[in-house]
Amino acid sequence: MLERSRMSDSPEMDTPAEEEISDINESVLRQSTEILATTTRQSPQIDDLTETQEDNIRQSPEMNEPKSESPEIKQTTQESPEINIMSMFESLAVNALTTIGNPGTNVEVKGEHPSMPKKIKRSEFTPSECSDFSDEFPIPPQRSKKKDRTIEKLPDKVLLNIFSYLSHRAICRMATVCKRWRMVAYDTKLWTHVSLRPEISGLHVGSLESLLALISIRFGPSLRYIELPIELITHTVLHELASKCPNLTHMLLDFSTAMQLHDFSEMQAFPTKLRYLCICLSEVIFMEGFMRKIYNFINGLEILHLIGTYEKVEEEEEEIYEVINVHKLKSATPNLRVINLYGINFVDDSHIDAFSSNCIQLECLAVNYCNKVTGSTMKTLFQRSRRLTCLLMNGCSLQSEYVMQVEWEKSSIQELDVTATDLSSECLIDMLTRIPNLRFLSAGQINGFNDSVLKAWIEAGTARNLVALDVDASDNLTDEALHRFLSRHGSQLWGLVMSGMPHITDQLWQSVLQLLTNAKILIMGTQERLGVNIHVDQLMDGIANSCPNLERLELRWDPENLRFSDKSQKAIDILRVKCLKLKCLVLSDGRYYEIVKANFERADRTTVVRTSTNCRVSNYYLLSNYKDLIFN
Amino acid sequence: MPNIKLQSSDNEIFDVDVEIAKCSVTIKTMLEDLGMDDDEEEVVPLPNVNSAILKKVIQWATFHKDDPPLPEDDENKEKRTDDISSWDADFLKVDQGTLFELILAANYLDIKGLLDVTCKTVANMIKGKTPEEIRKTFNIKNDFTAAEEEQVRKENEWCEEK
Repeated sequence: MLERSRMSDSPEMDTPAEEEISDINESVLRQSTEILATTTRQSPQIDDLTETQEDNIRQSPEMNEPKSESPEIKQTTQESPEINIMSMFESLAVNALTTIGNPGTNVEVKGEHPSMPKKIKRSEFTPSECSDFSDEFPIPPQRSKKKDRTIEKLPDKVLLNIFSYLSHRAICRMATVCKRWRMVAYDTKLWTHVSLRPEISGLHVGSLESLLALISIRFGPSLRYIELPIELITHTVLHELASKCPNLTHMLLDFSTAMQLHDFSEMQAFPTKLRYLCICLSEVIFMEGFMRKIYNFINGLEILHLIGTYEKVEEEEEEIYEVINVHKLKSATPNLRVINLYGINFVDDSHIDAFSSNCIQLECLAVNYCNKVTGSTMKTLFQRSRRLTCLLMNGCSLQSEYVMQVEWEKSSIQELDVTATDLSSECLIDMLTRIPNLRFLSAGQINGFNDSVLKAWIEAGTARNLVALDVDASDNLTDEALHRFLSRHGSQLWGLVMSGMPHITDQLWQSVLQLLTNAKILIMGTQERLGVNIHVDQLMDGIANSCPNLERLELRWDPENLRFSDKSQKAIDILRVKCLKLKCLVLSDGRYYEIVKANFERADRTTVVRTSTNCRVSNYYLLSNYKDLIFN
Repeated sequence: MPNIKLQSSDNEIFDVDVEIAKCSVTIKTMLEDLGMDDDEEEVVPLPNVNSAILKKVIQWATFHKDDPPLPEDDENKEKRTDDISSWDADFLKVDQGTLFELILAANYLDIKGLLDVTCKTVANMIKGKTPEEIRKTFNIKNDFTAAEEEQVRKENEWCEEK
């Protein structure tokens, strides 16, 4: 009976605008039909409820007493040991049934009550509308005209668009608002990119069984990206993902909190279409037991992230374990374009060499915070990787002699990060005057980066394509030299970071702002206490008048150093009104922050203004591989 | 610069630069189907959009006419709502009814940029609110029975703070 009524309803759902949703609903329905068939067999009392609409009405007086509910529910709970799966399947089944819109099929399972009787009693819902209901669904507007619920005017597709901007936790909360919102919240299109790491998404999957159900029903072929915490990384889960999610292309496996690896000896399958894989390594767990099972499946990988424990370690570790075999890994992944080895304590030049020997498509290599890297294999890296355009080595222990051996003139490098690498002035001059097409340079915290480097760079003319410059905490750059450089190249810059230098104050900034007409990202100021005060109102004015394309601004000056007046609101207002593309404004916590926040709040722009504790701005947004490099 | 005439549901005619009008895929398709003719007084009827809303839509499209085309968000891991520009934020400081009318117009006219920014705005109105607060804000009726509500809550237990 159930199936018949459902089948007759589905064609009516195919309204042109809502085809996609109805397709999803149909597949959910099909799956729930199978599930419901199972549960029906197990709970004979359901058959009584599954008859006609009229039957439901007849039964309603008895059913409506809440007290009579509880014994039934308790009973069925005792009957069914795997209540977790069952309740999820059932709820999905009920959900599927409500999507048809025909109250007659609005059947509760396991003794719960049909909502239909309540609907009949409501004034707006008359029996004559019953048949219309499924016609109109999923376009509710006609139904709710009487109560002028404007959000209900919006078609499901639009509601889906709105929900797509919410976190999954928020979406699950939305499911409890009303039936329509619940239906939209469960649409597989909202579950294409899912993180199951509680610290990231707030989602705690209680058991492996519920995860398997989710994979099968909620995620399915729509799933593109998934993050799994260690307790959910098992061969059963991976098998299920391999079989139910054929479009899964991005996966993050977080082993970082692992105490021990699960047993993968029985693993036979693994998602085969992965293009992106991110593995969060643990310090002590050796990965070979897992990795050797997946080498055969990952040769399509284009983007690889191995995330080390750099951020979690407080003191120098005595024992460093090479927890993953890079040499085996590189043989299995010849198609890598982007490799990110982040903060891994055992990674050194031999690993860079390994990757460059087999990954001829390499475009972007990042080894930030891998402090054993000295650069001894950089020359061969560039000789082999003709397509390498981005090299990030923040915090590496680079030796100037190795860097100078690289054939920079022949390279295709465009983006370079050598922050905190302690290269000599001679090396920097050599490098910068020989790289023909450098667009992005981060060279902060280097003592050797002094005025002579800037001078040589200007004179060689090799900064002609520069769009992003980060000289944070460059103690040996004077403001005159910076002024000279910016007079020549300021107007081409999209991103400029001149922070962390007490001697660079609003004075220099004011003198160069009119040159920075194309600036999208600006970072200024230092947290150190200064002897002078920064006239921040004039600064805001200057920025507002010179930088209409500004998207991200960060002022790092300590609140005590900022001088602002009662007219400050006006300056802030001008900034807000002239920098129309401003997406992010970061300030130190303090009175000035409060004033700015209040000003932006009046314009309903609460999320634009942030403190430096919850947001940092960076030139990294300008990297061409920025999206591929995002992790965590 | 060639102009095109757009007619709202309440029969008001708006003279609009054809390149600006074409930010609407619906209008662009209509014009392509009809064939572009500068001599004729082409009037494109838009029966689903009233004049007040059409005026606002044209205002938005005019400001955004030089925007780069929006990227395909296939690989989109995270959709942000904090990247609404100042101008857009001010533009969307309207009552709920107007906001939803704008969404409907952007949907009907198929203007992705306007649809996205209006949906983000609504998402921002939703964020951080409890379901009851949302019902109040948007005047939504809770059509769950007590039992159903409990069931939905249980279904989503895994999404709650532990």
